[in-house]
Amino acid sequence: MSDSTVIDLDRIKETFFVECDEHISEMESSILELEKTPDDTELLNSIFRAVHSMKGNSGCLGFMEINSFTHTLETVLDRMRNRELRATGDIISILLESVDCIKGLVDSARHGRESNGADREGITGRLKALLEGDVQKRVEDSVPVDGGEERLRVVFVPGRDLLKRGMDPLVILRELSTRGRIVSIRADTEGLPGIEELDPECCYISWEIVLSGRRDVVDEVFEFVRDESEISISGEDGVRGDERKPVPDDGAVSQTQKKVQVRDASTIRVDTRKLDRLVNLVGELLITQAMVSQLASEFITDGTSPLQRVIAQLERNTREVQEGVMSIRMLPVGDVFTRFRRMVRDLATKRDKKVRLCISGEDTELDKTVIEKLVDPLTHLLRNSIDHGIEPPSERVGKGKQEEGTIHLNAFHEGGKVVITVEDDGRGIDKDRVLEKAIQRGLVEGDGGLSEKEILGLIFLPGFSTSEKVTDVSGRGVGMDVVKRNIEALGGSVDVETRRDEFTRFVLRLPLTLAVIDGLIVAVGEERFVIPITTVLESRRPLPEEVKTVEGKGEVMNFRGNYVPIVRLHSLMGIRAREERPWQALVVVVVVDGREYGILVDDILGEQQVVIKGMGGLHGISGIAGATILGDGRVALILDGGGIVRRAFSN
Amino acid sequence: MSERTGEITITGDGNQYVTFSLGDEEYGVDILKVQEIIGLTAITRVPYLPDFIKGVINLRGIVVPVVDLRLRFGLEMVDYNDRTCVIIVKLGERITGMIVDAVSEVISIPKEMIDPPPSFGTRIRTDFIEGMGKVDKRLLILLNVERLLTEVELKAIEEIPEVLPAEGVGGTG
Repeated sequence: MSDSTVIDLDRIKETFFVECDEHISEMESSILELEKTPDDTELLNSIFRAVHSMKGNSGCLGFMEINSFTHTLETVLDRMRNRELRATGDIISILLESVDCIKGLVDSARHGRESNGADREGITGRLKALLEGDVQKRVEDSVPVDGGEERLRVVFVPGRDLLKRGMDPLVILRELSTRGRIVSIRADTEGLPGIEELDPECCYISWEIVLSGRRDVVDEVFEFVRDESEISISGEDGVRGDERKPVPDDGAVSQTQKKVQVRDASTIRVDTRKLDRLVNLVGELLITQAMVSQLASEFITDGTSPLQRVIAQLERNTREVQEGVMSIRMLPVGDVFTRFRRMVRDLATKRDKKVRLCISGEDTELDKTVIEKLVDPLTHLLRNSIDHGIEPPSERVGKGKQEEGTIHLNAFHEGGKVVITVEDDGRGIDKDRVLEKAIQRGLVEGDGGLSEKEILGLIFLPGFSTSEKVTDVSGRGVGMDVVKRNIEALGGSVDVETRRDEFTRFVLRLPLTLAVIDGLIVAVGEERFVIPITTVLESRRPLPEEVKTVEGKGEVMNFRGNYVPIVRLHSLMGIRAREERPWQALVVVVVVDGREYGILVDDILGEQQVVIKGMGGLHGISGIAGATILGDGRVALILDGGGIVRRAFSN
Repeated sequence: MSERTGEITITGDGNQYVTFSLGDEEYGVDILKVQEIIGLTAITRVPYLPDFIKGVINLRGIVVPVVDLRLRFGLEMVDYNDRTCVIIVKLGERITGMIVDAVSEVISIPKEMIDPPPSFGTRIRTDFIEGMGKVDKRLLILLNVERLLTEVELKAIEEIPEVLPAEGVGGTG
């Protein structure tokens, strides 16, 4: 993990810049809209969220100029949300100039240039004037510096025979990354001879590393290789160890250029919109192909017909095209997860808390669009855990907990979905306070008589925050609503579980991909349903003696020596089945939450790739994951095994 | 859609309405909210929704929910026939179909011929009514489609019973 952290920093920064571009253009258009409808709270919220995200991310990556500017801007926007300032023409133009200013700052940061300080100060001044001597003129304190840390430039030229002595320079580099924060690393391959002269047991490469850390600690790393290697450690003048502004030194620049060149050789960057369009087209292609197959089957009577051969070929090709296109979009979630290590570390330090981030399941693959849209929600959840969940060390000790809090970030597959959990072992969510706050904010009338689950659900409402303090991280009431909205927009769900003083666990369930799934098409009465194939174990027609009715548990079927409960899909869906006796119909055995269930259907019509379509406003129906269009043009519902089982057995 | 806006000339300061019938009553919807009118096609039922949401249809590759307006207004159910139509309404990004007995015509009603909704005496909820339009001797109930169809959505979500974890299934984390 440690070596990938080193390489990832540039990629993370690049992602940040791309996101900033998105936020900036979103802000710009929202502000322009706001000019027309100054009282639109939704627009204000969306501008606010964009600024808030940029503020948070820039802080984490050490772009302090962007961070402090967006902070000021955010304060102004917050006033506007609270109706203390109105979006008059003057304010709109200041806001638009602010957008330009952020654009400039982001641009400077991207190219490692100095930004135009005069511009920024001018606008900052005007923004502050709007606040009219507001107390909140607090400018962001810079990140506290650990004792003795400084920015160091290390040149490491390993001795040629280092490898023969059983030493590995990679081990040293890896070790280095744990002793300090690596800003840039560059490998010098000048000394590498041609392949015919190369002795694989010799070390030809040298490294130049810029990092921040303590000189003596860094020095120790080279303890065992000092004698035969050239090592120089020098400080970088005038730069504090903790300032992570990209330094336009040769090392950093040439490293980026080098990486770009290497990448160009084997990969190309493609606009994601082109990719999305391709995926949509493939979806349409799948439907058309299914239609052709269906039509052809009406003409084909002879099994050896050339038409049938061609249709089969078409099916194969379509599937391959589809798989190819989808695989372009699948990425391991680890890319996003590692990005949070730094954030958690910095934030915990800032808050004087001790927090360990445990990551597991980083190889779980998800659609690129899903992953990208996960960044913001996960950032918010982690910040929340650090800010509100994990207690300060002294409080933890008082409670008999370990001084260091743990946040566990985990990803795994479950029934055709990817589940991501963010769990901290902090103080839990105080339900009484949540309710109290909701009443105070007018989100709930009276005491509402809400269930525990409903009370916890309140934290996802816009404008809700239990934090008294306004910090640059959280407490302004943005966050949880963004989380919920983003996840739901992806067709996923968010659940929260908590126990006082023990844990808070957010469970995000996400579809593997947004576009296509493999489905088993089943018939019940006149209706057709799609069961995602990933959840299906097998299907069979049981013998009459294999089906029993158990007191209090309903119908069960003997399946591989165990009795599994049978869900009658027709009664659950309120339709009439053609056949109600399981031994005359079919039972599809599915796995939900690690348990087997049998779903009773009339017939299985086939296996097919289906394109997931939204259902207009009808989302969030438990048991129904979405809809698709089958070859004959009719709409079929896609079943969600978990929801079906919960519906069947919740009473 | 472009053909539609291209061909219609707005006369006077009144709005144009698509009129349709449910039983004996005549209703109107603002033409600018109507995307198209189609004949009844195969409806796929969606469970766990109020009766008046009949299900979803395939509108050229888009899955669109359809609402039976008779049921929505609590009128008695009739069998669909070849005059039954689906008025496809577009509100923002959301597309919904409304099943009606028959679509009649497009008429222009001047503003002064529209009265505010009566506080009683109608068979449907007054907050679904935008106004009462007078054309010749006929009285048209002009519908507030936003209200009507947003309510549909809210209602649909309300109706979902609280989901409980299956018995014996532990936490997922």
